[in-house]
Amino acid sequence: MCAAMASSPGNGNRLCLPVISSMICFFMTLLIAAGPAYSSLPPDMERIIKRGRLVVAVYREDMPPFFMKNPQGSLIGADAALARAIGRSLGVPVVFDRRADSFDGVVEAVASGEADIGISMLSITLERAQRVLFSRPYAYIRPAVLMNRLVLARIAGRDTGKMLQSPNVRIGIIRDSAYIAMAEERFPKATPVLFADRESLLAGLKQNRIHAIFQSEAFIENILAEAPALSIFYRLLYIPGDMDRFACVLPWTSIHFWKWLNTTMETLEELPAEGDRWKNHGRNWPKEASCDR
Amino acid sequence: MRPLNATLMKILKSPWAILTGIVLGGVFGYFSKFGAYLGPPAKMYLGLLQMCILPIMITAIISSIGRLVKAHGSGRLLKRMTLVLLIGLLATSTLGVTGGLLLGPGRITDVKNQADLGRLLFEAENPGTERAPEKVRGAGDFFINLIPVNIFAALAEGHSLKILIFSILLGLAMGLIPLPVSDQFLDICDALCQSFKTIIGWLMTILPLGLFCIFADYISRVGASLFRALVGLILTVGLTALVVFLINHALLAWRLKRSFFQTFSALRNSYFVAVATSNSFVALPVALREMEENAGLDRQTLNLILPLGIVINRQGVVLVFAITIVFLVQLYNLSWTLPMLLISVCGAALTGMAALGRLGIASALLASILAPLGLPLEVAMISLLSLEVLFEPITSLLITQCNCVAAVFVRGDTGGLS
Repeated sequence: MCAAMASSPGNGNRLCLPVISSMICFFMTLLIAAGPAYSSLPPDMERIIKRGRLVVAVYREDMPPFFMKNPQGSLIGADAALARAIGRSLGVPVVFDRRADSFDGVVEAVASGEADIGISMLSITLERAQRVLFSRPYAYIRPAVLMNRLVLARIAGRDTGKMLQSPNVRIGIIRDSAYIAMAEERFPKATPVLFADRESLLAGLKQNRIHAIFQSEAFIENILAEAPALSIFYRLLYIPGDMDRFACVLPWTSIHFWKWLNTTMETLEELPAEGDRWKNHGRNWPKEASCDR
Repeated sequence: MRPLNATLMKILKSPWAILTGIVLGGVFGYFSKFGAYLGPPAKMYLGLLQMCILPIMITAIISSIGRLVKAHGSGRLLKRMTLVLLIGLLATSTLGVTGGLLLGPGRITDVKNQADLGRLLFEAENPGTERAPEKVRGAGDFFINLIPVNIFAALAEGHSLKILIFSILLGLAMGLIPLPVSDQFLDICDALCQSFKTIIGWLMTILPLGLFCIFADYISRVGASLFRALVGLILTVGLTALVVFLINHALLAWRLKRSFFQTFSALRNSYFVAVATSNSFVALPVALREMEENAGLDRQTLNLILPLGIVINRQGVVLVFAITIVFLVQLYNLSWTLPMLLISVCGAALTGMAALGRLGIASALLASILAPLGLPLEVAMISLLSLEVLFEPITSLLITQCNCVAAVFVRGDTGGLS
């Protein structure tokens, strides 16, 4: 329109040009002034970087080989190493928040914004996914059962498929863990018994209050690695079917951080390829810092 | 030249040469890395011995049963044989259970040994590499598998039980047809049997050398660390087996009216071959020869009892099974009841009869005893699989010996068949 006005003859035209050029200058100045606002980080990333540390929620108890304290008191293990690798990529140090007293407690801490991310052997479940964002899985683990051999011989004989399909069989599970829903789905007839933590779960098994423990293979192999004599009385059996997938958990508001995290995890060489089963087999689990990357 | 040959033969055939071969082989296999290199000659020697097993087994059974039927003396002999075998099996089983109760192989109190056993079970059940789960055969399969649908397949694969059934049926039929040609056939069987025994005789002259290779190879394969976890089970089996061996030997000496040492000397090659090869079938031809030539038993009785007994009268395995059941009951702190004792004694005797092949695999048969007792089969299988290297020489020796005892007792009443 201005071009049309400028091309038309008359007094008003001469007046128009300086006004327009000054307006253009004004808007250019505005644009330049507003420029930094567009190139800065999305708020979810900015919050972490401005704070200068990444707060990672981890379950209170040690769960080797994923997270455990070394003799010096610092957290080591696969989950801790993954958290530090993410921190390094972000350029901030990592702080572990270990107040959660259950696995669902970790999810809760992330959902309420107390932590930026939860990395704590967290299984992907639809229920959790309603409240938080899951990253791509970083470990594919088989669900497993640690079963009393005498009970197994009595109820199932040689058919281990039958072993958990009776209401007389009591299965011990850690409370607020993904395995409760998994047990309901896979062994609908068995009776689940919930325990507060690993120690009380093991005590329940040894006192014959439960016949079996249902958790991830890593959890059970770790129990057997610590107390090999348990293998005389209890048998580790992998449950066929879908594998359990561990993933990082983020608040639902951290959409950009979530996208960034998935991109970053694709580049981390230490993580398994999609669907590759976790292969540690409880044999040579690092107890010291050597497992820390 | 001739005296030198004769001296050499005498030296080679003396029990001292055999013992020297075994000891030197053991020492060589233990201290030298080259023990494993003696595997091929050991296999060749074993192969030559094994070559003779099936022909001898078949011809011996056909000819002895055929002649038995023709002589119309089968009823009494069969009754007596069944009685001798049953008493032997039950006695061994009872001894095994008693030995287990006295020595307590399953009462593992040492924490380190418990952890070792736990690790052994864990490693066996969850191997680092994926593999197909082992197929466990039940007792029903066992009876179906007794029938040799294709006799040539059974022969080619060496299914001794199927071959035994075929041979018994053929021997019976051959004895019943009243044709002169059937006598000729039985003579041919005899001739074949004798020829293979002659080949065994040749092989026995180089037995010290063969045992040297076999032992060096064997010792190089045995690793000691594995056995610490099950030391109680090993000791119990070893001690109880020694008792059974001595009782059997005393019975042999009594029936043969010879001294303890003379009896040993008469049967030494059978004993040594049974232990060294861990295979009672390999010792069968040797035992047939020695029982006939050195102990003076008649060929017909031996031809019937020994091949038959080596397949169904497996007292060494019965002993190991009985002790294993006691081991499990103790390991899992079950308290004994009379029915449990009866199940253990009779069950071990019955399953031991059917237990052919490798000890660890055959132990799957224990399922039918362990299920009513509520004990886990997999622990028994893993324990026996990991110890079979140690136990098979023992079971093989006892099987060979107890069938010699059975032959001596069956003959005792009938005074032989011929």
